[in-house]
Amino acid sequence: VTEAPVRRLHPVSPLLRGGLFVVAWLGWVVNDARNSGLDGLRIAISGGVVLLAGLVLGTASWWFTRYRVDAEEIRIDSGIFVRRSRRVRIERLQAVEVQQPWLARLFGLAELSLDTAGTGEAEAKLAFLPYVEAVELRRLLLDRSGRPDSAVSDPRRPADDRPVLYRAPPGRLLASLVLRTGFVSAAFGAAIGVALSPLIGRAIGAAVLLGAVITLGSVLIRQYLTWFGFTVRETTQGLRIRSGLLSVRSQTVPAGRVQGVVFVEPLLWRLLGWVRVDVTVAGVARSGDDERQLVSALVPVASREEARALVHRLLFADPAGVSLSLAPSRARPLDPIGLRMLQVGLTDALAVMRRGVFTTRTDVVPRDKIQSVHVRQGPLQSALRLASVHLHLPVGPVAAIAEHRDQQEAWRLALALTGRQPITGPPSTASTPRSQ
Amino acid sequence: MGGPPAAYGRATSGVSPGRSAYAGGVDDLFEVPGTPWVRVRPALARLRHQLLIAGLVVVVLVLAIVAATVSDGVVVAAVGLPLAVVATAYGWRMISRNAASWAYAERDDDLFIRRGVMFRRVEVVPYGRMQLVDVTTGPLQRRHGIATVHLHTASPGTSAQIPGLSPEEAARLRDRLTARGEAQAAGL
Repeated sequence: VTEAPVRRLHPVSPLLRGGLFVVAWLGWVVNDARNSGLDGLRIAISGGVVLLAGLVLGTASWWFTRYRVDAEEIRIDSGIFVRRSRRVRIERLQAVEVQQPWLARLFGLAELSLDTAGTGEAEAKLAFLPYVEAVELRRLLLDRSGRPDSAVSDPRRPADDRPVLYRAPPGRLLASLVLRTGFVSAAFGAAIGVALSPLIGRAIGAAVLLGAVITLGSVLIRQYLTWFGFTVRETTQGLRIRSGLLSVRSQTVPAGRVQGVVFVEPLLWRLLGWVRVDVTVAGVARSGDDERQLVSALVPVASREEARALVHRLLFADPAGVSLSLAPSRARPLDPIGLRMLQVGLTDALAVMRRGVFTTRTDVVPRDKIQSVHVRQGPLQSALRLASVHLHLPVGPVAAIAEHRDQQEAWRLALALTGRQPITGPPSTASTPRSQ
Repeated sequence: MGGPPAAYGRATSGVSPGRSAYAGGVDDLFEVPGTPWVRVRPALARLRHQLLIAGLVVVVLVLAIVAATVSDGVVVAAVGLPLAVVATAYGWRMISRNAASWAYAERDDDLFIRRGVMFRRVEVVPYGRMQLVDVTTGPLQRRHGIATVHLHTASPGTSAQIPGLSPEEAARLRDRLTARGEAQAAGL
């Protein structure tokens, strides 16, 4: 192995990272204009100073930042006054991500972040590299670390020429975000606050309204930008997802590592036949709610039929082919409203469990992915001869629970789910007296 | 009520027989024919009883200090002492029952762990899913000659621990479980 060359980041990097300077300067300009009126000369001079300072500092920082990738480690030296030398062992790399903030996208640049702990927090970042170089470096690092090129983000891969399996229409996307139970109830709460404003004072009412509009609006906009242009394509490793307007993220959901999916149907979505699908993928655990949502969402919104087709491709089994059975009606005292949603079904390949009235969730788990189960029975359930079965899966959004089943059925379910016995076989508890 | 297991396709809701008709009783749920449950050692109850008594002693001491220093503290102590004694008696009984409820059963393909009296729970862990097996014992546990075996799978939901085993039994169980886990490893 020849000595690896020492390299620098892309020369445009300081300009992109200098955006902060510009924002600070704009703030100063606005403030200054309020105090002493707009003065072209002052603005020009200060702008020149800021630009110069930014350029000098940025260029110096760029000059002193170097990285080198050799067989065992990647080394990043940085810092103008305080020098910092960071070494990341390649074999310890958990994830290498290529990201493109929107400004970088204009220049065809990308940011490479290295994560060693598997926590999703970057150990080191290289910002910015030409996009192609970043992708190439990522492939190199993943090769050397011996990790498969799988669930990590990587915008713009050759998969883009593959046929689109599903594309979220912009209108439906917006409507689905507005009709989410949390959003609707927040808007409703704000409306009540405004309606009460004669009682609590007009100023407070206006403040409530303003706060609500800003909060709800920013949530809506952020979500919309995140999911805009959502598409799913099929690749050899699994489904490739791409979405985002300003900063594009894309990832592959590797079919073989899917531990389960969950169809989530908020109350208002059910009227329209819409559903969201989240997925648990082994080895993908990340910090940060937004990020977790991105990683775990298979589809932000789709019709039931479209969602079912995608899940069918991912699990190699059709969840709609499973017939579900209701919990016994004697469970009504324990869950008067939700009883009709407590449904469970099994096939040779899948376990399907549904629950929830306001937001209905249908957890679908490949039976060979179930880690363990437990059967539990509280005193009330005991009196009604009911029991619940919980499935245990790796960390993720899927939480399959069969609530309030007949206790014999629950026990058979538990054994069938953990064993390799066919579900039609005799139950292990057959010798206990049955009440028939 | 529910027919044979093949009835997953049909609705199983319907008229259910009265409780008296259910000859097996509630215990059926936690009986596995042909697999004897192994109960944990009574030392587990002894350990927890000791902790309970230690708690009672602390409460009594606090009450005594209150009675001696605060005005009307005697009234507080007079009310608090019987309450503490009653609570301790109740706790004593609950600990006895709970400790007696812990048991495990090694089957061909999976391990059962049961626990609880009012809220009962049976954990079913296939050997092939086990990632690792821990044996832990703290200073108090050591004095009572017991250890805890803890099974981990790839799921944080798995809560498979068996407290109150003798250290030798715990070590043997761990070795057996590990061997079976290797033989049947399934992975993710």
